[in-house]
Amino acid sequence: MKMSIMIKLMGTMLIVSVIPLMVLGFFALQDSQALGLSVVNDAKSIGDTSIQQSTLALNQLGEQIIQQKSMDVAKELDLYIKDHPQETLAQLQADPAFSALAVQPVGKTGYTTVMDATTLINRFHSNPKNIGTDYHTMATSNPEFFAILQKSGPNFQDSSGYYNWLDADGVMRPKFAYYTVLPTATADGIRLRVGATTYISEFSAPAIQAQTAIKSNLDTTTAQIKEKTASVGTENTVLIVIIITMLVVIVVSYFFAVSITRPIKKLTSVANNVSLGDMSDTEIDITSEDEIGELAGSFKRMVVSVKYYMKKSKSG
Amino acid sequence: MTTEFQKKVMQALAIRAGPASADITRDICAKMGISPDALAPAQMDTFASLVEAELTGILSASEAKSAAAELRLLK
Repeated sequence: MKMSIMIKLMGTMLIVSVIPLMVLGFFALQDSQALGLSVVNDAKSIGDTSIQQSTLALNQLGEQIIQQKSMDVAKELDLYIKDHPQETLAQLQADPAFSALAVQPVGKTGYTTVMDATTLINRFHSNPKNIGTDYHTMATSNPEFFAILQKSGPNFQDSSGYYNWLDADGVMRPKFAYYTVLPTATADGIRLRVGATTYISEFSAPAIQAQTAIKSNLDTTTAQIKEKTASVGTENTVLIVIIITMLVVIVVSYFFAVSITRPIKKLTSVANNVSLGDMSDTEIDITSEDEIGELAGSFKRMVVSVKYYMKKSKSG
Repeated sequence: MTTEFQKKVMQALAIRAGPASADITRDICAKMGISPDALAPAQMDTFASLVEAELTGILSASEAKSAAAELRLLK
């Protein structure tokens, strides 16, 4: 297949410039997608870790608040009993001031309760229906909860722990409870145990909300990165750059090829004319000072010689 | 015996006329009635004028004139 020098030059320049650009564009697109997803994954990992740490810290803070509430109420009740050493449990239950001290709010939805530390009979509760109920029934209905009470042992030590509580909506939610036994007994010799309990999620709720917000933002960012890196728009940008480069290369290589092939074509034309004995058009107007200029000068001298000898042979 | 001057003349002419320069020199010297070996600087004006006339028609007029001017510079 016959190919002109111009086609060869233009083809070579096109291949040499566009193929690397296409390969570069492909890998740049791949890398940008990978980089974007890597950033999102790292951000997600950092977000998860910070939320876990925040949740843990808030839960610990909640435990401390619940514990403090239990100990504070126990201290208040103990002082009250010491101030009223003659009052029996029944009298204390009838005493509104004591009842107000015994049942106090914990967190947003929790409350303190007071039971007989020995018999585990509920004596003070926010719901009057629960007064008189026996916590031993929890041994089967909620073993986790009952285990916390049992931790106290025969020496009435403080006990605490988590248990799951079945709500009215049928969902089990974790609660934290702390129990403190009053050091002073009532006039009829009964040791009371104060319990403070509430949902631990009340304290970790801000972290959960932040987690939701972070997850939402990350999901949006992930979608945007995927959209920007994998969208048709990005591919079009690469395609446009390649097309513009191809056009520039074609134009530049065309003029470059013309600057080389035009004098060669002229020399070829004159050589053909001379070889056929046609000396009418042997003008060579090539003035470039490169290899082609040298070739043109040499050829021109040969043409002058041929013309001279032809003139001489005609006149002689 | 070719002298250094005559070699310079041949080279100057060869730049314009190529391989025919030796024959051109011999023909013009014949017109001048001298041998090429006898060509001397004092004869360069005549020689150059004859070269210009000889090359006119083969080279362009300006090129023929330039070739003659270059030869005159050798005297």
